[in-house]
Amino acid sequence: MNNEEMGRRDFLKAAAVCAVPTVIGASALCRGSSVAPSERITLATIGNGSRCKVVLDHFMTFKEVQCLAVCDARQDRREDAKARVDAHHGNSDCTAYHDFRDVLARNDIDAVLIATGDRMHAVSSIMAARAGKDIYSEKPMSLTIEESRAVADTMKKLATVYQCGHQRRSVDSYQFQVEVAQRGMIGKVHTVIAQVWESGMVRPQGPEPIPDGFDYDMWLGPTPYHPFIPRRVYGWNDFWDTGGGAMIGMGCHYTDIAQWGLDKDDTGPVDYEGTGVFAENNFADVPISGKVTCTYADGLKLILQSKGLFEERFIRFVGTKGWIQVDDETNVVTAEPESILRYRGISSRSWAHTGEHIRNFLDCIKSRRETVCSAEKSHRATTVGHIANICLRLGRSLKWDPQSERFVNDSQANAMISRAMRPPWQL
Amino acid sequence: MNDIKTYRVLAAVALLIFCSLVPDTEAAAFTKQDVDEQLEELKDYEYEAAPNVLRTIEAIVRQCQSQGKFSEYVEQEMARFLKSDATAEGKWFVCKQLWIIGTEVSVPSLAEMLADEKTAEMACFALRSNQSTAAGEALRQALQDVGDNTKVRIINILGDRRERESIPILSKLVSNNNADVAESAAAALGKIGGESAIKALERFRSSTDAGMKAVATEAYLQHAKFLALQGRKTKALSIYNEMLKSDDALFRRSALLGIMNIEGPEALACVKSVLHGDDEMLKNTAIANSPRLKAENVVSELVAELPRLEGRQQSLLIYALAETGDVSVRPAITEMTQSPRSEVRQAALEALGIIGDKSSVKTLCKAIADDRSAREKNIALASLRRISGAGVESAILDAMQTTKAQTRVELIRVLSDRRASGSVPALLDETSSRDSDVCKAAFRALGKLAGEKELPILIERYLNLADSDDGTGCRSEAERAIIAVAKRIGNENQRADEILGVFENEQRSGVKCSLLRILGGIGNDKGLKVIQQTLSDKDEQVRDTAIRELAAWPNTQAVDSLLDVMAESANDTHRILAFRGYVRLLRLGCERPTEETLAMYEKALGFAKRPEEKKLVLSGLGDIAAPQALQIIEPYLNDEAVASEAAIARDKILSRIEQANKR
Repeated sequence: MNNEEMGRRDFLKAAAVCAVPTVIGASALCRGSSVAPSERITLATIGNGSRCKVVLDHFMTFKEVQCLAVCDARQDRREDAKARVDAHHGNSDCTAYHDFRDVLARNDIDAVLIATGDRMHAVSSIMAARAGKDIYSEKPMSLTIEESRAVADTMKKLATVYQCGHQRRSVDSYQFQVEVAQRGMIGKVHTVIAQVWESGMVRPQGPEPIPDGFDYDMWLGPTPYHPFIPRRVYGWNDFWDTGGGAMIGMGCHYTDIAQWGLDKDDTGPVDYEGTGVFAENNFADVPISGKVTCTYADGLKLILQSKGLFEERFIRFVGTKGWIQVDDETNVVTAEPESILRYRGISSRSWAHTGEHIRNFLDCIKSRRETVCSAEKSHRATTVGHIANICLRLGRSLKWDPQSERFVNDSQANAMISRAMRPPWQL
Repeated sequence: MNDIKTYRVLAAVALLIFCSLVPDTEAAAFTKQDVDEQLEELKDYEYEAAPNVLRTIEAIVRQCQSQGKFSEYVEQEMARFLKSDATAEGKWFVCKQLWIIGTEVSVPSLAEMLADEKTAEMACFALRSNQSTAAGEALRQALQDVGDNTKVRIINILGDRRERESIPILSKLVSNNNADVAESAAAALGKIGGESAIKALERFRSSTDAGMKAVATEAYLQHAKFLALQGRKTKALSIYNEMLKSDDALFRRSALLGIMNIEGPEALACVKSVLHGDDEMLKNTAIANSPRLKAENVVSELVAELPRLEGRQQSLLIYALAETGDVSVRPAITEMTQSPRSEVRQAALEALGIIGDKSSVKTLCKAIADDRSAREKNIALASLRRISGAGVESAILDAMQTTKAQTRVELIRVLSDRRASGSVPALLDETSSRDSDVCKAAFRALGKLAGEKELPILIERYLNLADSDDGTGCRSEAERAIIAVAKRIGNENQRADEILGVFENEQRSGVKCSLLRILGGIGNDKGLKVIQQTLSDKDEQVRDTAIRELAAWPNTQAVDSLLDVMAESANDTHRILAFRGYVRLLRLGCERPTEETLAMYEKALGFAKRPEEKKLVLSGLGDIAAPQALQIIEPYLNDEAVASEAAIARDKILSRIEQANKR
């Protein structure tokens, strides 16, 4: 069934008849496993690129997880994913799909792992929730503020368990950093500095034929149509249509940690001020570099900067009596005074290990409790990154009202909260 | 090979120059003439073309915000552009700018584009956020004349714009013959909400068309939420209660949550009724969300439910009760730590970490000491670490007095993790324990908790056991503790003073070696001087320890001494230790000029006799981003025994030069 054959109507019909699993009752298949059927969680993936490989591998380390379906607009990727899943389970039960609506229509799937490009995160999350699935979605959870608000509202309304892939919340180096900040071990925290890398220059490129086995229309999803241009497709994060550059791509991890560490999970900064460098001869439209200072209502500051090399990314909490920093590339934690570090438990697991984050998700599927990166918290963290980008795109300071989630007296910035979607996709 | 080398250096230099020449688009303020020129150029734009015009127009749009008239001019010209024979790429780009700055000025041009299926998508993109009433009017007007595909596109936009003026036309379209059009209209009405929109959807809630039914039902639920927010509680509850009987589990779950969000006794009654029912998913949802219930006596009513539930729900409710933060639940949770079901006991032990106080310490310590599963013990330990409030640490110390050694070790770790500095005197006592595990745990904790003023007594306790080397590891643990505490002394120069005082009068060989290890760990200048002096000690064991400490020295101050050992020692082991230490220290970052470091590496190569030693030096040279390092490496590229390491070092140097240039 291709994209044209299965429209929104067919999906809704299928989804409407699919019952929500009763604590995990959907998965009665327990071939060759020591896990009781009532404890099993059946999983499907949506998007099977490099990120999915890593996260899915971590999912499958948990015995109760059985992956029944994989889905990707690219034939090579879905076939590869199916082979890997089948090899893991020692059978050939995993079905490969190119349209995720077919996956959502199955009533034997409990949860989905969404690891598409940013463009599909929100739409597929909402559709999965309507189909009664619980969701682990890669970050950033949306392309626009409106999208992530809609995801958070939908998850709340339908009591869906949603975990955003801000897995640093479940990593001990960052947990330690937040603990140090929250316990006053560096005095009163006044600033958080988060550094992501600079983007590169991109040369112009013209349209090319769509490769065989690539459902490009599905790949585009709700984003504005443009012909198949390899650099735009494979480097989608460098273009506003499909991504938001490092400021949100990586920045959302840091805004999440900052919001958490500053105890601002349910709100956000009110003032944004910054500048970006947009190179004249760059085919990519996101800025090469930039710096945005985000100020909360109580004066706390979050400085988001896109600067330096990929390996130089870090987040630092600065207080009146010292600071603590985690270098993302090495997972090394440094602090001033250095003596703070003696309180850290020893763990070699860096951000690259998603296991604890997934464990939390799986536990919440069973308990129906809120995950550590719930849709609401993630929406707030993602919003900070989106506003930072809007600030750079508009080239001026902005005032944000976290209550109404609108810019204050600024119609242009408010226009950028949302975007039209290509049918059949909508929120 | 040389060609590749040259190419890489040139490429690095070229990148450096390129990066410094990236033109910034914000160079100057733009004029109306610039706008005209750029839009003219944009008319022929295609993807392969240079993107300068795009970036310049984006910069022009950034300039619009502070200048109303200039902004109006830009929009006017963009609107004119859309009517021209410009390329589709150019028009798309302009529509993306109008998404940001569009007002009623550009609406007429965009409205024309709605009529053509080829341009409707870009027009919708621009109109989606256009705040003018003209935009909404144009979209509604266009619905009369466009094909079904464009209709769906426009209907979706109207839903997103949430204008009540769209309700009449959308209400008609829900009966459209084209099912996609009808369903989009229903979804749009759901988004707009309100009595009249819901009324238009009413009949579809019992539709045989599953898609329409799902859309209408979701809209109905959304409507109930609006009613609740407006304070129309009775109406909202009536919708939710009706939905609670739905045959669709998703809507039942959603309705339950809706009821639970409404303040008052109805929510609590509903939760209790769900808990007495047999829908597992609904029960779990009710329990997970119960901490947010707003009703009188909610906590006591939920506590009363606890014994009536099955194991899994009992565990979930224990967590939920702890989450309420209401300490009145503590006795009930404490009782649950004795449950016959393991998962319930685990939940209760974990919950005590959240809701417990000093009175819970005894229960948790008992769980650790009792013959329980490792998981239960670990949970109890985690709760002991977490539990807050006054008197908790004293309670743990009290509990320690009556427990067996293994449990004492665990509790000492808990105190250490809790950063309980008040427990230092008790921990000093524990270093005299006959049980080596307790002794080690106490020293380890003291290494974390003790301060400068406790250093003399810590050394005294260390000396009590320093002469014994019974393989228990107590002495090593004590050495580490002293190093950690000494390093907390603010004045670095005084950190080794206490130990030096002891060392001066110490004659026992084993103790002297132990003290040298402590001096090495502290690593200050005074300690270094003493270690250097002991290089000529009569006792070989002491000399050996001194060389090992120099080889592991934390900074480059020890290099000269190591060079002397390399040059003068007749002992092969000492020579090798010194050589390795020397090269290691060269690799540590310091302010030394690169030329000097390179000269020291050359010296090391002079001492390197075996291929392993040469490899070590070559690997260190790979860290230096200097062309001179390449010259030192070059002869080794042809030495078969070390050629591959030399090549790796060369590549690393080239890559570092390239990275340094990038910066």
